[in-house]
Formats: sequence, C-alpha cells, structure tokens
Amino acid sequence: MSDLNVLVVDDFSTMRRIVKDVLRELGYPNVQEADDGNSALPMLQTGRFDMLITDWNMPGMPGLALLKAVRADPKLKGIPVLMLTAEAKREQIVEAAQAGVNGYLVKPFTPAALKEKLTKILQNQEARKP
Amino acid sequence: MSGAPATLPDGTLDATVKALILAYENGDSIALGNLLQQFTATKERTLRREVAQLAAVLQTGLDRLGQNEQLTRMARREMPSARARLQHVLKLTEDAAHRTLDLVERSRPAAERIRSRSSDLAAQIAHSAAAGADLPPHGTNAARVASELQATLGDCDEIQANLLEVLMTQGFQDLSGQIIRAVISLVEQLELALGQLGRICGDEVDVPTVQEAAGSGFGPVVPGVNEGLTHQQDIDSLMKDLGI
Repeated sequence: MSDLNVLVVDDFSTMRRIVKDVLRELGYPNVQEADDGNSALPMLQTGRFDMLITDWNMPGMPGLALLKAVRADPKLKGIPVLMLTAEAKREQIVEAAQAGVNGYLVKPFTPAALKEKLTKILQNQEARKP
Repeated sequence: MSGAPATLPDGTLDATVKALILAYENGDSIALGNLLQQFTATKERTLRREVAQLAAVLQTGLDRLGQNEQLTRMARREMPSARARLQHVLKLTEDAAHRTLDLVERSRPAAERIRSRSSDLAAQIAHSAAAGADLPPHGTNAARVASELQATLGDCDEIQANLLEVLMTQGFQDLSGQIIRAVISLVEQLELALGQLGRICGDEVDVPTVQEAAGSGFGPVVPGVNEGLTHQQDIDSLMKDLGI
C-alpha cells in the first residue's frame, strides 16, 4: 500500500467513485474527491496532496484552468497532474502539455492504463529529485 | 363677411380647405399663413407616424428572417448532430448493460463452484466429526482440502477481476452524461429561438433563459459528429513527441 495522497477531481460522482475504487485496488487508499477546480484548489492549497488526477470538462473551473492555477502557484507547482478525460482533440492534448500536465489518460480507461500512467509519473518525479 | 378661424378645424379635408379659402378671400395673410403652417405640420406628423410604422414592420420582418435562419441552421446541422449524439448514448448504455450482464453471468459458475466445494468440505468435516476423527480431516483428505482451497482461490480471483470490470463499465454514465448535457444545451437554444419567434408573431410567451453550457470542452468523441484521438496509444505517442 502506498501512502500517496491523491485528489480526484471530476464533476460526475460515478467517475470519482470508479477512480477511487481503482486507486484503492492499485494500492493507493488515500484518495479524496472534489467536483470541479473551484472546490479542488482550496483543498490542494492545504498542502496535503501529492498527486492530482483531474477531468477536463467541468462546470465552474475546468481541469485545464485548474492545471494552470496549480502551475502558477509557487506552493503547488510541483504537484504531478494526470488529466483523466474524454476530451481527445489533438490541440487539447498539446494545450494541456504546454500548461504542464504530467500525463494524459483518455476515457474510457482501464485499471492497467491508470497504473501505468501513475507509475510513470511517480518515476519521473523521483528522477527529477536532486 | 365672416372672419377665417385662427386654427384648422378638426375633421374633414373639406373643412380645412374651406377655412383656407375663407382666409384667402378675406385677404387675411396672417391667418392664411398660420393655417398653412398648421396644415403642413399635421401632414408632417402623419407622414412621420407612417414612416415609423413602416420601419417597425421592416424590423419585424428582419427579426423574423434572423430567427428563421437560426432555426434553419438548427434543423440542418445541429438537430442531426443531436440525433447522432443520442444514438451514441443509446449504444453506450446498451453496451455497458450487456457487458455488465456478461460479467455477472461469467461470475456465477465460479460462485457456484465455491459453494459446491464448501458444501462438500463441510459434509466431510461433519462426517469426520461424527466418526470421532481429528478436525480438520488429515492424510489423504488434507491433500484434497488443499487442492480444493487452491481452486477456490482461483475462482475468487476470477470473481474479483469480473467485479473490477463491472466497476469500470459504469464509466459509461460519465461519457453519456456529458453527451446528454450537450444535447440539453441545444434543446434550450431551440426553445429560446422558438420563444422569440412566438413573441415576434405576437404570442404571449415567456422567453426562456438559456443556461450556460457546462464545462469548456468538446465532450467525448461521437462517431460522425466530432473527431479526436480515441486510442490511448495515439495520445501516448503525441505526448512522447511533446517530451512528456
């Protein structure tokens, strides 16, 4: 079991539940939820989270705006962000990459794909440490 | 000789002309000038009112034309797109329901095997207990118990994997929900356009307020409606090209 603290942001409660259950299955039991960027940002600012998994298309603050807000905040900018979304246009993926996303997983996804993305992101984070 | 009236009489043109003639015949140039000025002003007011009415009719026509264009665009482009989106939702829900039923049906034999083995073992243990033997059964029976338990573990793994897939299958609700939201937004726009058209035609209708469409994306890829990279490998490849 990992002690990684993960925040899952999605406006659909069913999807938050699915991601949370899959993360538990993959060995990440410390997961909290938010339904859009506006509710996620204050949670992130508490400094309790090591990983952000966010949807793109949400009312209020969408995932891309949340990603940009995280990267613009000196205290949060180092948090790895995985975009988990049905948005799949090439220009959107490029835009997310330019905004500093660490991984991009398209819905519908498999537990194996989520595991692979998390592992890769965490390995890259580890490699960047001085 | 009677004097000409100082102001134009109300009523017919006849009365107006008579008043003007009277002023002329009396050589009352001041009264004649006043009456002519009043006559011109009255005609000008009438003309202005008619021009305003004509402009209003033209504006209504233009509004109606704009509304018709909006409705035509919806009928030609957006309604077929909405139909394709809803058909895709239908397919998503049908596929998810079938997948869930398949997984439940696939899990039932494994559950039945676990029940049968447990029942057999319970009977054996009860039989051994009745015969005064040690519990649990040992010797040749112990080897069988180990084998049965190993098979049970395999069945439990199979059920667990199926349950995880049932869980993943529920993701259709998110995808279909996003598509339905886009269609709701279109229906709201249609309602607004029809309401405005009704108002132009003089109907007493409340024009609805259109809610802002949720989110900022394009939503899930719907075949025939919008395009995107639907395979994760293509996205991984693009991310790699982008250095991520």
